Amino acid sequence: MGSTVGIEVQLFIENLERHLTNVAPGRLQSETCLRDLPEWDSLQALVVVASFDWDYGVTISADEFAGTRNIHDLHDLVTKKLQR
Amino acid sequence: MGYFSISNIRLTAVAAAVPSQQVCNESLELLSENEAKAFARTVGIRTRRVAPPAVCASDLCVAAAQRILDSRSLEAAQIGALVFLTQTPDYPLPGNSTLAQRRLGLSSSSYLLDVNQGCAGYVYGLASLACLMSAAKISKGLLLVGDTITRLLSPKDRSTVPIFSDAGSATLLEFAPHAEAMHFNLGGEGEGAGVIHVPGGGAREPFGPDSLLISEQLNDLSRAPIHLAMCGIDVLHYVLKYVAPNIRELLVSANADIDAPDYYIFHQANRVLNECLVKKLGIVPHKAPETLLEYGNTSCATIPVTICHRLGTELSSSKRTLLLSGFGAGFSWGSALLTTDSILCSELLELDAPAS
Repeated sequence: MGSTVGIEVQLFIENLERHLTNVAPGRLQSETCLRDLPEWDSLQALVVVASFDWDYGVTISADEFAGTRNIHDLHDLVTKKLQR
Repeated sequence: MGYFSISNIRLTAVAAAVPSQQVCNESLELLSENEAKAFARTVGIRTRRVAPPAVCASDLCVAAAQRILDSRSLEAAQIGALVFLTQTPDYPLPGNSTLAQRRLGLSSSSYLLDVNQGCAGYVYGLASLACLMSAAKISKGLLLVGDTITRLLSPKDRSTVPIFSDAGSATLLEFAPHAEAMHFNLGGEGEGAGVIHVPGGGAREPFGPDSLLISEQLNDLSRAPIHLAMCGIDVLHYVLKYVAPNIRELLVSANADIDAPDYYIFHQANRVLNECLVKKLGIVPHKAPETLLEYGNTSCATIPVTICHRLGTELSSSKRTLLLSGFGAGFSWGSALLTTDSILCSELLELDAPAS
């Protein structure tokens, strides 16, 4: 897993947990698919997209978000955007 | 180059009208009680106004315009131009501007113009009317901006029904040779045309037997081609990408500091967007008044609704600098920086039937 530029995966997950206040801390792993969480809904997707802008200055589209399978992919996506 | 300024036009009155029928999201079958509560917390909307079938955007806007004419003791004949901006006109044609001219009793030699714009519309409408009044030296003009956007919603679409609400507004602009400048910065990107759209019922996909066929898109989300479709994530994506930079550019071009505006009046789309803009711009939250909780997203009318409902008393008695920012279907966006000085700003009107 891994990115070396940008954000450590663990920090990325901690940041997500800080914003997804209805997800218990420690629930999220690199392999977690956010869409499969029982707490997940379209409002949480807005919160996640907004948090990427706030935490990393990166915005992602609905298609980009839909193209990710799990937190690992999201982390890759954000990292790649940060490198551009 | 989206920036320009106009130095001979003043905004002197704003009025807005909503249907009296209030709908609470907790009463919707589309959302459970807990979902409706979470929705109110995150999106910031609890109740909305829904126009009955007899009330159109034209009725709401004309009622607001009549309030301005009456309160200012203006004769209808003094109005030289009327711009009507809506996405929900009474008819496919003719547009609403001549209908409003007739009902308000404006002169048949008025400059009457219809504009189709969405949630960026209030700023686009102000810019359009100000430009034509400035160029043609028209002494007084009315901008009517409103939608009965709930008419376009699928009753089975939980991504739109709990958000949208109906309202209409009227704004009076006056020619004043040495007015303080109104600054505008407008933009749009058609790559985002599909982000908020109604695919059917126009010339590309004419109304036909299939236009009313409701199909399931996702769980709890079904709609027909004539219904409004919106991708919330992409709305946020475009706002983050274009709107905050557009506002910063406007301030730089107008030689104004981020602290110069007394208020930032954002289009009321949802609370996540408002919070993102407040954070990105680094302004204090109380400078960005909200009306989402009670009035929802009234499409192009959210800015005048917020001005009247939240700032009416203050603007009626003081001089204030306002930054207005709208964004939506197109994808379009625009911001305006202007100063108002003791303007007429009436309390929200409530309408349950069109005026005869």
